[in-house]
Amino acid sequence: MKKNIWTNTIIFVAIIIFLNLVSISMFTRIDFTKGKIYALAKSSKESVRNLEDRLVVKAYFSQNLPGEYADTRRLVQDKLADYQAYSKGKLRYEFIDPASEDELKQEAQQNGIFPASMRVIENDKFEVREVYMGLVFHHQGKKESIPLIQDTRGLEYDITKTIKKITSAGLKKIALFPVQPEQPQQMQGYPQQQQQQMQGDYTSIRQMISDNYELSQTDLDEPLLDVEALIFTGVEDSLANEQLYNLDQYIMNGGKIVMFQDRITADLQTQTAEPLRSNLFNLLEHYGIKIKTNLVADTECGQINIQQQRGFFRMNTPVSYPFLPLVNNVNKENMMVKNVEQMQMVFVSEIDTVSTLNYEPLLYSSAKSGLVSFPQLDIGVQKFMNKDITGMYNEGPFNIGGIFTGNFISYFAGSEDYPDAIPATTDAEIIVIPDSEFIKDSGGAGMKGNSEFALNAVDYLASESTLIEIRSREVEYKPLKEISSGAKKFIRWINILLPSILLILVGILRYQKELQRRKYLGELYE
Amino acid sequence: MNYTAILANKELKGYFNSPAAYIVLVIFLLLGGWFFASPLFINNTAELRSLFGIIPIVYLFFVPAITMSLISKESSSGTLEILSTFPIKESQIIMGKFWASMGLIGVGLAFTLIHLITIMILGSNIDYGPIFCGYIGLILMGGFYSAIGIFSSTITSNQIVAFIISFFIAFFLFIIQFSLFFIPPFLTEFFQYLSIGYHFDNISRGVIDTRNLIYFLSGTALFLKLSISILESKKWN
Repeated sequence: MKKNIWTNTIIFVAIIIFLNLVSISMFTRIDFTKGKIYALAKSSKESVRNLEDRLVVKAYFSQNLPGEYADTRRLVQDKLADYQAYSKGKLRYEFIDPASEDELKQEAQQNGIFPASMRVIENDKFEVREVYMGLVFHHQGKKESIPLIQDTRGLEYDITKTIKKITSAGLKKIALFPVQPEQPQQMQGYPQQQQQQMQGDYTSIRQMISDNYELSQTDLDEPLLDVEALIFTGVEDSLANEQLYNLDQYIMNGGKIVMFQDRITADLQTQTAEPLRSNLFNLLEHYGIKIKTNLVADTECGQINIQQQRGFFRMNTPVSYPFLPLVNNVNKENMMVKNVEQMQMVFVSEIDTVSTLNYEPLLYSSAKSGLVSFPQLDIGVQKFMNKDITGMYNEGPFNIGGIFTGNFISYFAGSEDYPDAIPATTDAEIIVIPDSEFIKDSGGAGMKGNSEFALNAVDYLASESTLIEIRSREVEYKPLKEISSGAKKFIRWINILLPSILLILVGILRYQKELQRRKYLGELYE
Repeated sequence: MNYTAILANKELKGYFNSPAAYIVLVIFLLLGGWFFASPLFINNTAELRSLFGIIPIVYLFFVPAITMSLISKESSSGTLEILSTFPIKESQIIMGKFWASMGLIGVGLAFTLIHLITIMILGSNIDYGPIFCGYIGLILMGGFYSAIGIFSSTITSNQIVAFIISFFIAFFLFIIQFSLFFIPPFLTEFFQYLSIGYHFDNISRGVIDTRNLIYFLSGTALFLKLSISILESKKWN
């Protein structure tokens, strides 16, 4: 009998082990997150659903990755299995460990996958090992690669992007205006600041756009042809007539523009601000796009460092400066902005919502914001020093970004000098952000939200909105409501003590009930 | 007669008629509350991640403490022999104790819902998926640790020894996740699969995956089965 017990137990243990081994290769998942961020996005499914030809993915992954990457291989395999499931058998993937043969190492390197050196503990000492963690996609004689997957966040975006790239006829064209200075090859010997200026001011955004598009630059001296969208990074002077005409005709051809254009030029050093004078505004106002000559001041804002004399020392004091609004208030209905993280603006003006065009707002300042308007453009730092600015402004929210569509009439319609001008269009779309610093390296480009918005805007205008969906699937920012510091303290203590107090109350009630029961029983048997 | 339910009910009442369970639960709730509330306004996000980070650590002490006496007390006081004269199967005894332990863990978790209500009042745009799955993960983890605790309580009649054994098994499963770096590379995947934190993290991000479910349920079943077998073999001794 006793023997039977342990025979049963051993059989039971064997079944448990078998079940676990089977579950590793046969599994299913249910994603309970709000945006289904761990299931494959619709656009990812579509990217493989309509494959005309076979797509082979070779995953060059070392066996036995170091501890912190042990999971990476499994996650990549899960993702590829998901893609395979939706590809109607067109997508095939295989895992290869190049460490086993030199021939495979060469093959990996020919495909653009190079080993990364990582420190692992072997034989009780640190050793540097070469590990492979890359993917290569083969389709119709073309190949694309993702050389190193260290972080699996954003993996789906990278895979879908690569699949779109390899299966499409070519990359869509995006143009940037005005032309940025190119990076000189030899920059050694120049001071750091000068190096940065020489690199141009849009390096990071240009790199991001170049990942998905063929990015060129234009000075608008020639007509703009075959360009899906134009990134207009802002001007400070008037444009030449020819430039203005080419810009206008690009719009009349159903052009798509994302425009980062200041209305006010501000200088923090001299603490002065004044409206920009440019014929660009005449063109925009002719269409029905008006940026007001004011600046938005927001209590939800960034900080600047002010040097102050303290005795013998000069100290840097951070001061909250309302002309650097932080933007969390977005149009939740619009896919371009609904999942974008916090953005940073630098001297932004308000958009006039009264227009002959259709206007859809995208970005707003917070409710606790206000305006300074021309001619009283006072941007002095002094009045914000050592002050609690929370109650200073209460007139918001204001429109600080939106998209114009509808009936655009050419600025040159009926002009004798330009008889061939296209007179009107209803296909154009112009996204206006009244802030030229928004995507500058020295401005807001460092903020994740800013670059996300810029990429989303370009994807949207270039009809690649499917990519927006995947990019914005990362977990959203879920801020708590603003409450006073007293209320915070109260809530903190309530959360620490209340559960225990309630439990003790339950205990006391139970004890009293027990006493009553005993008393009753005592009386019963007396 | 559903002996499992009767036993579980009796055991659960027994818990709440002694101050010991209240003391253990209060410590559990105070630690959970403290680690949830302290960084609440620093992180400033509407989620329970900090709570789900601390409870698995509190479990390491909490679950062995509530399970250590379940069987060992019966065997040291001789009531186990009396129980064996009833027409009750060993599996019913073990499952009764298991559900009592789960009941106490459930009560503890129910009181942490105050933190969830706080988030609901203060937060906006809350993603309930990871919160729901986090609680599912905590229940599964509590079940696994309970089974380990009952197993330890079965192999010894000394409560302190039972506590130490179950603490060490639970601690081993918990710490693997943080020791992968020191494990020879050819074993990392195996040890990662063994680690309880790895499976809990996967569930608590908001995805219920059969691999994680099977890990927890089969781990729980394994230790419960071992406990039943030990009880049965004791009977034949």
